[in-house]
Amino acid sequence: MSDENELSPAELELETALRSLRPTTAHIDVAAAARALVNRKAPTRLRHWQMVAAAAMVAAVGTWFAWGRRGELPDLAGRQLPAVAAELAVANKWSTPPLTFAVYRQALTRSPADLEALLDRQASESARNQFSSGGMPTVWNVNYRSSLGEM
Amino acid sequence: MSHSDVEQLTRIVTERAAALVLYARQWLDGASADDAVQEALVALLAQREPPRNPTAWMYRAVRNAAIDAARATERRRRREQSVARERGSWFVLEPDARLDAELAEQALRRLSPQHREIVVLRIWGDLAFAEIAEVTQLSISTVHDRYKAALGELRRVLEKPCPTKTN
Repeated sequence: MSDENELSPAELELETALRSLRPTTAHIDVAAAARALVNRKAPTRLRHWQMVAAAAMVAAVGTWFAWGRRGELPDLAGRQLPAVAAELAVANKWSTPPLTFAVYRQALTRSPADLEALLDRQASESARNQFSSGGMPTVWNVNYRSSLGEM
Repeated sequence: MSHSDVEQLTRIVTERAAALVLYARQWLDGASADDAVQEALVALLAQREPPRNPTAWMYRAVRNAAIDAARATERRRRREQSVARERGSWFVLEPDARLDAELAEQALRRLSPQHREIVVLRIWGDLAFAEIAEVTQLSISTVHDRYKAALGELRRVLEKPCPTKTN
């Protein structure tokens, strides 16, 4: 090695003397190092599993939203959640038009003055509901019920 | 990393374990120095591919681990005081050695940490100047200059007549 060539004989002699000293014994446990290595690698494998699971979940949520934007989500919900579909069927059975028509049909059987008074009340109540709660009048609105009760 | 790579690296480290621990002792006391080497060994075996120069890599890893541990565990002053109290623990006391182990250790402790580190790497780590430069992140010429300066200081201390030493 060219390193030694640049040292003086006295320096080389000192090097040799220093090299005659032996460092004290080290206490290195190779088996413990191997165990630590295994412990260090295990969480890495766990992280890989977590990443795969997270990616699968993101893909599933993305698919869900994509279908929902194309308007396919209700069908999917109906297929996958029979209980919800049954509730939707019951709600459709009691949808707004038939009940509203029943109210108006009953009003029509009465006098023109009663019909006009009913229409005026509904118009004023509708306007008030729109400005107060922001909600549209429904068949379950108490005003409609009172109208039905009056007839 | 293959099984044979692991075996070879483990052999390289175990053969140099004492010198590596001595190097770690430049920053840490006994048990902590062992821990630093152990930690570096685990890091070495965890590599996907064996390093180009495993010996230099180990010294570099031990250096980083020892400096980190020294910073984390206790304040510098307390560590230096405890290390100073530790006598004759760097080298095996052997009657046929050409130097007195305790005197050599005292002389080494007198060196600046920068000089002492290079002497330990050169003498007991058996590294070339280029490898020491790689480990310490210094230029080869700086390493060489510091080494020569350190040898000069050691000669001045060790060549003084010692009143307590009898041959």
